[in-house]
Amino acid sequence: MGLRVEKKYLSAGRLQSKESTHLVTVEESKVSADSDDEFYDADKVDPSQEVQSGDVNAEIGNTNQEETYSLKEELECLVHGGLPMALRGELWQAFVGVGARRVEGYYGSLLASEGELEDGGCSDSLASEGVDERPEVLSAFSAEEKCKGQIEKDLPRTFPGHPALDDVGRNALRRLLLAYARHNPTVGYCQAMNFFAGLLLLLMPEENAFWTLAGIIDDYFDGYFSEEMIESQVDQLVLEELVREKFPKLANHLDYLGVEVAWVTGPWFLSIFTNVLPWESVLRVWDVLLFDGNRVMLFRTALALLEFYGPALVTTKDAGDAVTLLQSLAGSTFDSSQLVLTARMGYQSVNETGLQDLRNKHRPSVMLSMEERAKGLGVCKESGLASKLYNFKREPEQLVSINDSADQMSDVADGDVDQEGDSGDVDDMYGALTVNSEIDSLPDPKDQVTWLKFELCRLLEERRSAVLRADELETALMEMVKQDNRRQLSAKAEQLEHELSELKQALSDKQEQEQAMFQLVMRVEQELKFAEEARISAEQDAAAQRYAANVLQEKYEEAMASLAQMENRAVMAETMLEATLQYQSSQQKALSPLPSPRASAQDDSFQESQSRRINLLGPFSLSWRDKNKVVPRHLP
Amino acid sequence: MASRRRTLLKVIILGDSGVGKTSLMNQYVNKKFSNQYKATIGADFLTKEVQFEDRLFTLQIWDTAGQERFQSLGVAFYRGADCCVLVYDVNSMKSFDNLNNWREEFLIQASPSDPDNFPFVLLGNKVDVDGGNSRVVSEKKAKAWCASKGNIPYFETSAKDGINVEEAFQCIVKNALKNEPEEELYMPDTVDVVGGNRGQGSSGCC
Repeated sequence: MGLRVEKKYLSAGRLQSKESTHLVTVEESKVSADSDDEFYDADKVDPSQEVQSGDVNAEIGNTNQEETYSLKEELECLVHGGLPMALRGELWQAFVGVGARRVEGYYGSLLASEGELEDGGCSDSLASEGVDERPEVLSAFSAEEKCKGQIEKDLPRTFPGHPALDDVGRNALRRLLLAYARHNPTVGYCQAMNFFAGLLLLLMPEENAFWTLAGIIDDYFDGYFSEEMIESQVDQLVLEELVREKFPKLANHLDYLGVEVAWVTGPWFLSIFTNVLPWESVLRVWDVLLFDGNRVMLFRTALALLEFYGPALVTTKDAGDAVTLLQSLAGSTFDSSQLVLTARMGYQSVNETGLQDLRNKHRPSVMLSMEERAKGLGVCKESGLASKLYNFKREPEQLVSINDSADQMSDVADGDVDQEGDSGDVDDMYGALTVNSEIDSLPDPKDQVTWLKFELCRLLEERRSAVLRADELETALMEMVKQDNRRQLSAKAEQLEHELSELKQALSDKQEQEQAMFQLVMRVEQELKFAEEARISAEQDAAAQRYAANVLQEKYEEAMASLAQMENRAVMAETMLEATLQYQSSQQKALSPLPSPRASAQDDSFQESQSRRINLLGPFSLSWRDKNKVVPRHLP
Repeated sequence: MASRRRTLLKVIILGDSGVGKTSLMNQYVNKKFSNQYKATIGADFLTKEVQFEDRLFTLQIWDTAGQERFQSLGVAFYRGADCCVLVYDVNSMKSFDNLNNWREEFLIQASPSDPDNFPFVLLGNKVDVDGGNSRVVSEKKAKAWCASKGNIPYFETSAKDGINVEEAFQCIVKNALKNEPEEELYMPDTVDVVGGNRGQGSSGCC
């Protein structure tokens, strides 16, 4: 850290020599002061803090060179053990290098330009506004309006109910955020910055808070809160890889539940743990983070938290439980010392170089998905390059990172544009070189600034147009490819669906036919059954009639038999009667010569009885004889 | 089978910053309102057990940050959503005008299988403010928008007074489930059965 502060100090020294000589003189006057004394003198917040923060810086820078390892050691212990609350604001400023960044009157001018902006004119002497001045006054203007609106919405939602954030506090917060938005238009205002600014305002005066915020967002979190939030996404991928490496069991379980670590850790990183951990823990993490000068502590803290709560997470049974459990457990991490110790000691292997490698590995995929999304929206994205170029202006050592990111950018672009991008890089470097040489030749710092501003604008313009063109070409290409694929796929899907519906249709048709056939068969069968029944009944009828005929025949035969019998009898009776008559007549012949009265009387009576007999038989026998003669003719 | 497994419903709440997404979620889940919510960074998350037509569901409600740039982080959250709740403030025309953006952004990032029929529900929040006098978006206008987007269900709510919140979420659950059978249509099983039939038919012919 000492080195870093020193570096800051040196680069700042250069800057300041251009801008003003005020701070340098302050530093020189205090060079001999004892640094330890300084720390403990700064016990209470002092109106002249501006000077003090400069002092602290100067001290660390100077003493570090001459003396001493022990000072560094001591400071490190102090940081890791937790800074005293009274010194926290002061030390944070020192860590961030506020003294080195500070440009007199800059903050005021950022805020003063409000009136000018509203008048429609945009004239100022500061590089940051020069960028949005020329090309897109209107879009910059509307972007600022957007920021303003968002800031207004978030003011009451920043630590609501905190006593320090009364009307006065809110106004300070508003100014601070607005000033930052103007200072770095590529970031503007991003939610979460309100919490950082609020926290800083609790610890230091407004202008110092501005410089601290600017340092944190511009350096520590470069590319994090800009419009695309690329670095934020990259960091989540890096963290995910680390989690897989360190906690394979947990990672497997989360995969099983379908939980992405980033769902929870994304907000952690974006808010630098404010509103996530208890306050004491937040401050302790910030101590280390600001001291380290990079984002390593974010990763270490997240890993420590997962180490603490991983065992509990592994027992969860669904995604919702896992996420809410982790959120609530993190919120109860009250042992800040344990947290910082575990984070620092347990994950020493996680360091800035390693992280940078991982970031470089994951960045292309993020960029690619960003492009995809931009294509989907048909929105031209703004690159975060402008902010990088600013930093470059202030800190030449960042040149390398610019080239890195430029390479990243051109990776995704196609060949032609790639060349353009590279030439742009060369331009940048050339520009940087000329900057340095021309600085000496130009007499007035003011002129230098305007010249620098002009140069920067030009470079930015070129770069932006090149990148935009690359993006456009890439977008168009991808769009064509995607459209093509999509069309083919959708055509295929449609075709398949069509086939499916046809088949279904055919199936249902067949089923209908089958049904109809079945019904027909049923009907026929039924008819057959009816017919059969009818036949059976007819047969039965016939049988009955045949039977009846038989019976009649029998009866007839019987009757004929009895008739024949009767005839025989009648014949017999007739013969008997004839015989009797013959006998009687023979008797009478014998008796007739001697008729006697008695005999005559007897004879009379006999005759009488015989005639009666004939009378009796006569009609009867005759009729029967006649009948017998007739009937045989009828019978077959 | 799919319906039996699917007892988890993922709902995403989208809308401009400050329209009351967090408040709506908290009113529904905790039956509480506070005017001291912090701005949501990234996304927040609550779950609630709900019963619908004799089935129990775990409703997973994702409350998202309203600032536009957070949309770039959205893809991780949006994926696998069953229903998307769009919220606007009836007292802010801009929040209403932005609904199209939110809807399109969601469809692009979540890339649901059937974007035209993906269930959305629109909530016009803050109807309580100033007794409705500061209102600038009429119910008619909101309904017209809903009709133009394929008859999106619309509710006018007040997270503060708890007006219509329960009803709205009932509808959200219903709509989240409505998406189910349509998805089943595209399940490979169905295709396999048809293919199998066809195979049998042809073999029978031969």
